[in-house]
Amino acid sequence: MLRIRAALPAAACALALGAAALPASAALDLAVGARKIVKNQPVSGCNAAAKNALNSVLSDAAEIGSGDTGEWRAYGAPDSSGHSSAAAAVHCYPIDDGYVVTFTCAVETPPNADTASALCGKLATAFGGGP
Amino acid sequence: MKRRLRGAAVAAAASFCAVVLCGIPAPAAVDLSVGIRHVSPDGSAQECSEKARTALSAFLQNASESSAGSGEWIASGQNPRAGAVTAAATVRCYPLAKGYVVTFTCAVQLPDNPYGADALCLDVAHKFYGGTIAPLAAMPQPTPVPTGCSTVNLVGTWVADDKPGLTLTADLNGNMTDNEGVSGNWGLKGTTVTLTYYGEHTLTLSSDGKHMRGGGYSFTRRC
Repeated sequence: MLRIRAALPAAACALALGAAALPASAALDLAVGARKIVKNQPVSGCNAAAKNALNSVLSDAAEIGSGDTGEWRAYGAPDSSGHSSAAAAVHCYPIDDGYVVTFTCAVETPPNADTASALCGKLATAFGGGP
Repeated sequence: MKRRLRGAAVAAAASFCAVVLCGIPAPAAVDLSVGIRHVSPDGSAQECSEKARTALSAFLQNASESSAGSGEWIASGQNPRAGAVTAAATVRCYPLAKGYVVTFTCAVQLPDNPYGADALCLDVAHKFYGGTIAPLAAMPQPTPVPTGCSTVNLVGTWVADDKPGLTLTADLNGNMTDNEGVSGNWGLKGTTVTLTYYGEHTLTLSSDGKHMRGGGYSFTRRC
């Protein structure tokens, strides 16, 4: 009996340690963010705003491809092992009297604290230009 | 006696932690593919939507329009082994004065997903507007739970020979739980069994994998 009484705390402690160390299963979360139509503005304005918005929420925004593709991507700050758990894309495309811009976001939860939808909301706000 | 018990407790904690730490997966990362855009000089937004749904459904599941009539489609891929979504893609259509523009954005979680985001996006795009489709690696299936009285693991339910009410259920990951919910761990090297359960115990597994005995314990596996 003494053996059981003494060992129970050990088992409980081991369980607690294990529970603290066990990572929850991570899942990918992808969100179709806002689409904005901005009139009477050049697409170059979209590109500048896209880069700024991405850099304000994530980091190292870069335009994909060569030339003015209007396709922007950025990743979240990497963790200690060099992995990022968040990323987003901003697409700018010229239309007759302005441009259309879309936001697409992906996060891995956990560890990322934000949902992909929340991340896209932050990006759209940082981009500005109204709804 | 106290010192011995304390030692057993420390060994239990250490052993448990060792098993748990060994089971931690490699850090995962998001891989996002951006940059495939297609402009169609003709065709309606409705046509774009139909092609978007078809293209996504060829590689992923649950393709749906983010809001009715928006022309923005999303789908995801469930990974049975990870027990989570590890791949997803969006196809977003926007009508032009003539035709439409459509963008393809894909994300995967690495290393759980068996293919990268670029490979997924290229296939979705090629399915949409034509082009070579490279087969994507199949999602990994869950590791099957061994059945029978294996001699290389202790997976299964064990009944104490002297207390039929006491059972231990062992899983593939080295975890073990008794009928009252108290958990521990098991290890097996050759025929030597190490049970971390109210202290650490060494037992011997029989050649048929059905019995283990030693250290005052005797169990028979249901198999």
